[in-house]
Amino acid sequence: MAEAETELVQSCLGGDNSAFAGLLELYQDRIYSFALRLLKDPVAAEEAAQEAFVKAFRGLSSYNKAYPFSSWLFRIAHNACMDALRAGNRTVSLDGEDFPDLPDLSAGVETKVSESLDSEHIEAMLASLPPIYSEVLLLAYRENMGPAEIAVVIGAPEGTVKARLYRARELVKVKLYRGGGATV
Amino acid sequence: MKADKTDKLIESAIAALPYRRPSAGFSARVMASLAEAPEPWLARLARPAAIIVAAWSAMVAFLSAGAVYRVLSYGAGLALEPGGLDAGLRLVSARLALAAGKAAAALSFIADLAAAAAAALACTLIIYSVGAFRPAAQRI
Repeated sequence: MAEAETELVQSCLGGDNSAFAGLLELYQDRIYSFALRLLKDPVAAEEAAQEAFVKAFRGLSSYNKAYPFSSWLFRIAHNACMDALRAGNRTVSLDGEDFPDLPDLSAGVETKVSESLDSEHIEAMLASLPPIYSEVLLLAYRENMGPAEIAVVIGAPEGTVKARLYRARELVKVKLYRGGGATV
Repeated sequence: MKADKTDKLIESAIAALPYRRPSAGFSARVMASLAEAPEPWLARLARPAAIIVAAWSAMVAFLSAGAVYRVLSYGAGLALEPGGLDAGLRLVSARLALAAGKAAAALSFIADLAAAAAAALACTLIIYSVGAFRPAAQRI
């Protein structure tokens, strides 16, 4: 944890509520972006981010300093986003973790993928994935979290995280190979 | 090896995604809602306490409604007769004396009710406090 972040957390725990503004400034873009990419709605994303920060503030005394503050905060944000998705009836069954048969992409996939990977395209691609897959991709590659840390954030076993990461990457490849708009 | 290279391309593309900024005033709104937020223990206590108090009040009112109705209907009939007011007062006094005699038993009953309510409240708080740290169900 960065020194400034540690100091801010300590100040908050010591009763200095204004120090939370510093934590908010440090994390608001990351948490909002995470929520926006899962919920795909700016208003819902702001509400979820706000709820996450309020819950973090209320529950700061339960934060275990043995773990990174970011993991703890992202876990709260994850829960807020899942609640928002559930409230909007945007549920995806995890029974069997729906995973379609994917075609063999060994030939030509690299060229196709490298042609399609501008930020707008990858953003649209993430938005088209089920939240459980876009979430692990974002946490792993945008937030630089390892499988163990992601497991803490989403409350799933590490093996599940690794499987979801693999499946998510394969889904992205298929979508990019098929031109981005195809439903897998 | 090709798959590895493709994975790297996907990873770097996601890593390069820009962070989005929430609308202006987001920080202010969050800080304002922090100021409004009630203390968690108070918020956690208030709702179950209110439910338990309402439930027990309703039960006590229901149980005593019959006795109150009988006294009122008898008293109203008595008040219409000549000298009924004195008779009514004597009746109320007699009832009060009888009630005082039963006060010890009534107090004991109320104490039992309060103990049961306190136990229910304690159980609710324990369940709430355990549930507060449970991760959201992974249905999405």
